[in-house]
This record gives sequence, structure tokens and C-alpha cells, in this order.
Amino acid sequence: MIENLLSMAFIVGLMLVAVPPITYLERKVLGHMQQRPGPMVVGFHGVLQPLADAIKLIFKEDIIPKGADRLLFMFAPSFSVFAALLAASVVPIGFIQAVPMKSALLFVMAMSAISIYALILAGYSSNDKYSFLAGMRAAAQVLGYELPLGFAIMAAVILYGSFDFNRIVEWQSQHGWGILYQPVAFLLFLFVMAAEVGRPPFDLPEGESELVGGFHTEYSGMRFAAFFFGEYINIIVLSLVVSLLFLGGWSGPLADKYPVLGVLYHLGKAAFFIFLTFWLRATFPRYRFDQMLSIMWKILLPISILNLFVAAAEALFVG
Amino acid sequence: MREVFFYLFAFLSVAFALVSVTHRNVIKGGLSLLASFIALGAVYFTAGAEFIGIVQVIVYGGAIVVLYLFALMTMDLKSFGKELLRTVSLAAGGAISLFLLFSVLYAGYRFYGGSIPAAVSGAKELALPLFYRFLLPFEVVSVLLLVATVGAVAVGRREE
Repeated sequence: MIENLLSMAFIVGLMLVAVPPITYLERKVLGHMQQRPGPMVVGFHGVLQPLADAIKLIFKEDIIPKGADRLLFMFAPSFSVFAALLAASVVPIGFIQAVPMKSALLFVMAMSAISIYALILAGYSSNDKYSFLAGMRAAAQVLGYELPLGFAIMAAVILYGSFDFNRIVEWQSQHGWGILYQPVAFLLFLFVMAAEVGRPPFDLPEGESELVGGFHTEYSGMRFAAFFFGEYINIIVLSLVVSLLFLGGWSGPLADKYPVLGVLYHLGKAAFFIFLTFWLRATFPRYRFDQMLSIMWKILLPISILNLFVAAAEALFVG
Repeated sequence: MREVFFYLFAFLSVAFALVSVTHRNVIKGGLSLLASFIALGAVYFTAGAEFIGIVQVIVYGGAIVVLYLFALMTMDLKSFGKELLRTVSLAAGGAISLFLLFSVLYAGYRFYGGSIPAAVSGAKELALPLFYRFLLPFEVVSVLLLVATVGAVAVGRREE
């Protein structure tokens, strides 16, 4: 019981504390990839920038636009953080797992599926046509990526024979990393993950160039920040999940003897995927809406269904 | 403790379902439908059916209500006039609802007093009857759904 509470505090603390440094790193990485220094003014090489941002956001006027649906408008940002933290609660980091659950993988999927309602609600309640369009885009996007994502995960689940992360990692420590067996599912997951967290090249609900700020156009201050907390926590959670599913999670040399080492391995693997989202953002322009939908429905969906047969064959032979 | 949460979420589910059919704003109706489905998922959790509870949230929360909301948001809702209650439709709907109510009550009565095992369902417990014992009805239902999908495409398609 005490162990569970400690793990819960650790995971919630980690998720909330990790977000500001990640935003700093993102801006730094983006800057250097685009041959500019990134934030430089506040502190050494701008390391105190997140703190400055936090102070600014906290003291900003909190505006609720006239004609907005007050209740839903206030509810949407908190829902975004709430759903992301719920998803984080079942993901084990090394030996630390806040809520042990047999169907943990499915639970993560369910929570990230409903986290999209934060965007839809924000778009609907803002009483702004740009936000409204962004909300509709978010709804269409979730319908597009949900199926390829589900099938990519199902391929992995068929192979491992379990929804439980502990069993999945165990399987991989016996037979080798999942990416060796299911490279297609791995790539599908990475591709769709960008759409799931609403990051470039699939950040259509934000779409600064055509929708002002998309769903968060009307938000200010901490409510605005809450959306980013939700988004970044989702990125962390899905990066942890992808390294659990395909890169062996916390397994690695000496991880059996020293569980702390396992935690570090896992966080390290996840850090690579977080870096990958920055990299994607610096590299690719945003897809057009119809392009996104046809990629999801016409290309990724058939590939992911065919991939299920591969996974079934592998499960027969490797077992 | 489990009973407390069971009744809490059951109450929430019914209350949100009521809001969803009575609210004047359809988008909010759709949202309360979502809340009702999620509360129902939580009810499954309290009954030890973790897998079904999660699938409930994924299928209804992640797909069906999004589809509803997307369709509602694309429609011009102000163009709809006020629908008047007609006696025939009221009577037909009432009869169907009464029948459903009785079947639910009858089913509840038959299972009354049964104790809930600690964990009733994982994926396996659901899949075994579905894909072995009741395979034929399951396949028939999926063909029926396919027919409905093809029919919807055929009706919705414009003549070229």
C-alpha cells in the first residue's frame, strides 16, 4: 500500500516536474537544428527560461471570452492534464508502477483516446470559428489514427500474448526486442504517435498558419499552459510505452541485479523518443488535412491489417 | 468499498444518460452520453471486469461519441425546426421502452443475489465463448454489420 502511494507520488511528480525542462530542451534542440541558438537570455544559455515562462503564465490575466460556454471552457484544459496523468498511472517505469493492472496497455490507449475530448471541448466552448474548426479537425483526426494505432498495438499483443507491461518486457528479455520481430508495427506506432499527441507533422488541431492557434486560440495564462502539460505528459507516456513495447523496456545489462539501473535504461530509451518528436517538428512541414486523412485511411490502415497476419505467423513460430 | 463505487458510478451513468436525452443543446447531450459511457466503464471495473470496462471506454469514448460529435458539429443545427410530439411516435417509442424496461428488470431479477467473483474477465474469458462456443452467431452478427455498412455507403453515395 505504502509502496503504491510512493510510486504514485513519484510518477505524478516526475510527469509534472519533467514538463518544463522538456519544453526548454525542445526549444534548444529546435533552435540548433535550425542554426540559431534558441533561448539564451535568462540564466546560463537560457536554462531558467521555463521558470520565467511559468511566472509569466501564472501572472497573466485569465480571460474567458464573451459567449463562451464557461463550464466547458474551464473544464477542457484540466481534462487534458487529468487524462494524461491517468494514462501515466498504469505505465511502469522500471520497477515503479503506481497502479498494477492486467490490461495496462489497453488502459493507456483508452485514456489517450479520450484525451482528445479536451481539444474538441476547447474548440467547441470557445465560441470562436477557428477554435471550432480545430475541434472538428481533432475529432476527424482521432477517427483516422485510432484504427492504425489499434492494429499496430494488436500486432504486438498477438506476439507477446499479454496486455500486461511486465509480461511484455519478460517476453522480450527471453526472445529479444520486439522491434526485431515487428519493425512495421514499430514504425506505424511512431508515425501515429505524432498524430495522437498532436505534434508536427500532424498538429492539425493547432495549425498556427491557418487557424491562429487552433483549439487554444482563446486561452490564456495557466489554462493555456495546462494544454501543454497534457500534451507533453502524453508525449512522455507514449515514449515510455513505445520503449516498453518494442525496445525491451527496462531490460538491459545488469538491470536484473540493480533495479535502479532498469529505471535509468527505460527513461533513457524514452528520452530518445521524446527527442524524436522534437526532430520531427524541426524536419517536417504540416500535412494538409485531406493528406492526413488519406495517409491514415488509405495507407496506414491496410498496412497495419496486413501486419496482423505477419504477427500471427510469428506468434505461431516463436510462441 | 466496492459496492459504494458500484452504486456511485451506476448512479452517475444513469444520471448522465438522462441528461443526454433531455438536454436542449445536442453537443452537450453528446458529452453527457460520453460521461455516461465512461461511468458505465467504471461500473464494469467495480464488478471486476477490467477488460470489458476499458474496451467500453475505447469503443464508445474513443470512437462512437467522437463520430457523433463530429457529425453534430458539421450539421447546421439551427436549421432544424422544433419537432412536435406526435401521438403515434410517442406510443411506439413508449412501447419499445416499456418492453426494454421489462427485459432489463427480468434479467436483473434472475441474477438477483448472485455474488460477484473477484475478477470475472480478462481478454481470454471474453474471447473463449465468443470465438468457440458462439462463433456462428458472432459471425452472423458481423455479416449483419457489414451489410449495414455497405448499405450506408450505397445510400450516402451521390449518383455520378
